[in-house]
Amino acid sequence: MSWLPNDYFRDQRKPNWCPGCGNYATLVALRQALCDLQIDPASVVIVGGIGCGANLPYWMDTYSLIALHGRAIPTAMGVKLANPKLHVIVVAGDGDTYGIGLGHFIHAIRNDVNITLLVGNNGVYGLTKGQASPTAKKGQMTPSTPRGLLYDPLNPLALAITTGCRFVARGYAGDADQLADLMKQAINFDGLAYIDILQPCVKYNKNFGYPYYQDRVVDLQKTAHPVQNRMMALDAALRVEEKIPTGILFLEPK
Amino acid sequence: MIKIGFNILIGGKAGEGVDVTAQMLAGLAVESGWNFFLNSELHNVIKGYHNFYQVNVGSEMVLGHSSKLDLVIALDQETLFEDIKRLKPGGLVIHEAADQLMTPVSGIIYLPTPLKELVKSKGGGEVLKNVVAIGVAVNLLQADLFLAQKVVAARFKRKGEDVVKINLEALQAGYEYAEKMFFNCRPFKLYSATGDQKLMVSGNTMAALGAIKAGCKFFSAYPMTPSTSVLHYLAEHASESGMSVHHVEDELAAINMAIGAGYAGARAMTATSGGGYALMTEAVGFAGMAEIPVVILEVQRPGPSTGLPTRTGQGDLRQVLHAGQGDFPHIVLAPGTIQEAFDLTFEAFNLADQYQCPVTVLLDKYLGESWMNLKEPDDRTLSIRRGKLAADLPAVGEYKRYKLEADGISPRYLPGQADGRHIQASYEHGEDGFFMERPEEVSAMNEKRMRKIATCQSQLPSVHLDGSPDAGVTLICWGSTYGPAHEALKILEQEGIRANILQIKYLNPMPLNLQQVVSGLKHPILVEGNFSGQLGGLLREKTGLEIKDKILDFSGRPFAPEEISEQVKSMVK
Repeated sequence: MSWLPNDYFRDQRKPNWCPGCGNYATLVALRQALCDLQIDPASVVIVGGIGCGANLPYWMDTYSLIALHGRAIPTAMGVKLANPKLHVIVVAGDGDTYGIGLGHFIHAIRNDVNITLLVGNNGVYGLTKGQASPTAKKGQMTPSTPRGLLYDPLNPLALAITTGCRFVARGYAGDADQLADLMKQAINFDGLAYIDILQPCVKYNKNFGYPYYQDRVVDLQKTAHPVQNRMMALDAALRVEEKIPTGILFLEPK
Repeated sequence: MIKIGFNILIGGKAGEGVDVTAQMLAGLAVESGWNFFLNSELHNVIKGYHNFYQVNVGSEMVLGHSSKLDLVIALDQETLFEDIKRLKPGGLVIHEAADQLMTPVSGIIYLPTPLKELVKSKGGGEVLKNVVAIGVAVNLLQADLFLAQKVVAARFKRKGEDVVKINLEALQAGYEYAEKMFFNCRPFKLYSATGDQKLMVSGNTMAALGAIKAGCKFFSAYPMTPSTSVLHYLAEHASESGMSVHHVEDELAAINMAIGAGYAGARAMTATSGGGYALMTEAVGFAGMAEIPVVILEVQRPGPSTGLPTRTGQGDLRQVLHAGQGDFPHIVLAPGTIQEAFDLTFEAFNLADQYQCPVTVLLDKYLGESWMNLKEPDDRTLSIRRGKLAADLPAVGEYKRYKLEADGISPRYLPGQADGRHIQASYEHGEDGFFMERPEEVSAMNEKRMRKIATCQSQLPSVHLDGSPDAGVTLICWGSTYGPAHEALKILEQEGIRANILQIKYLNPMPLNLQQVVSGLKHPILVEGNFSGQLGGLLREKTGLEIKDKILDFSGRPFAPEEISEQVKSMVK
């Protein structure tokens, strides 16, 4: 049989995200990617952490597991290692992955377990109403940093590259087609494939909304970026101000 | 046959091969058809501090150590100063002839042996002095030298022929020295007997074996004394057992990975001690909420905090019983013997699958790291129960992962199975797994989950009194305290006090007949290895039983049977 996009979508349930939330793009792109690959939804396990975006498994008609805050990665690793036939996809946010769960992020990369890691990165903790996340910009004023954040953001892509991640990509919620394409490659990748997804939080991080990203994102695959060059990948990962590279930064096949 | 036995202590500095010496003497007892119980007292260092091992050898099965010694092998000065004080009158101490004696203890027999010189005469290094001492002991015990040679050769086989040869020579040198010098000093006879319990195992090994036999296919852990030998054993045997074994970055990863594997349908376990368990508690609640089977071994050491890593205690009962926020089903078991470490770990996997919840098995350092000889587990008596798997059951209407069943147990589909796509979540949820906050349904879902505990309780084996049912005194205990309590009964009997034991193996839920059993007790005495009498409080909560007499030890050391019997005597008067 062949699978249609709606076969992956749990019917009669509408996501409870804010209008304009970047998570919609992730949801649509994931559904499209699975459909394009014609993956049986019963063979898919989507593991969410805790956060707005991490609720995504609720809206997918697959096997869906909402784990603990920060622990989606080890939970997903257990699923995959116990049954390697499953397609295991983690959906978690920047607080989940780069804050409370950062240790798991690094060690999962070392382990190189064959899972897909989708991290919605919006610079804030949306579900707890807008505190600064580890990727928030220095000086950013939030309820937990009323006089401005004192330190620089974490660079998760650079961290992933230097930790030895073999599939490092950045997507953008304003380009669902590119995102679906990245997801397809990530799901097919033999090893841990990681996509950081820039997604505006329209409610709590208005300075970094669609207009901010729209002018800055540059699809690396439309440039001469050599994806198998680790140093060039690191160079791209470190460019975060004027132009923000998207697409695959680094790819190292087995 | 008359029950006889003797208790040997080997003391020395960490790194001097004290453990190997004890293991070889225990091996000799087993080869001779006898039984042993081996326990250790170690400092939390790798080299240099004083450690000792005790080998309690008996013609019958031995379930604990004894504080009274018959023979001491002193490989360092501190053994000579301290440990020999526990020798019985007429007890023997083998020691380095060159070591200085402080004030000699009267009533014991010193057997100075030039251990280092004898090693040197054979061309060996000083490290072999313990094997010379074994040679002396073999002679004193009137054991079969051939069997001793077999044990020594087996121990060093992996290190090559030369190492075996020099060790055998050291053994021979000690044996001959004793033959010549201590010929009038032979209180023991380790004659050849027909005992057939040849498997030398620790509580941790037996727990690991229980997991293997239960079909556990996934194990993830972070090293924490005294649970680490479980990780070592399972890692070493991973290819034979087909288990996926992972040393991961922390305890959070360890338990969440095991939960992920349990969700995917593999039988999964993690192991830790109290500190690691504290880190795991949020995930214990996750397994309870999402209804995912997982087994956790908690090998206790004394807390609080980092506490005493290499010592023993029973201070974590309340931590485990109350792990995690909110109410959720959590089954807690506590083996009392090394055999039960196998039996209850095996059973833990059945219970986790049947009730789709976390199951914690509580061991402690004394039980986990003590050794004894047992029979090989008999596979024919073991049965695996995987619980309600939806794929094996007739479909009834639309599938709901958290269907409100009368017994609380909703059939589960495993990911990958065609008809069972569903949501499982750490959030509160409706029958379909979707998040849900309606008050009546929240209450109903709580009740459904907790019904599993009632169902489990109705199926637990009854608790019974161990020993004479009409004894005047009942020792109430849980976990490793059972062993010393069991040995204490024998001492008390010799002194005319008839006592029995109420051992609680199922701590949550507790067996249904417990109330009835405790209501008939004449003189209950609580024996527990913690400050606050945690089981005592639990029994009061669950049954109303108030125990006045308590024997509590929180020194970081196991109970010795003699300590229990002394205190019981003073309480009975």
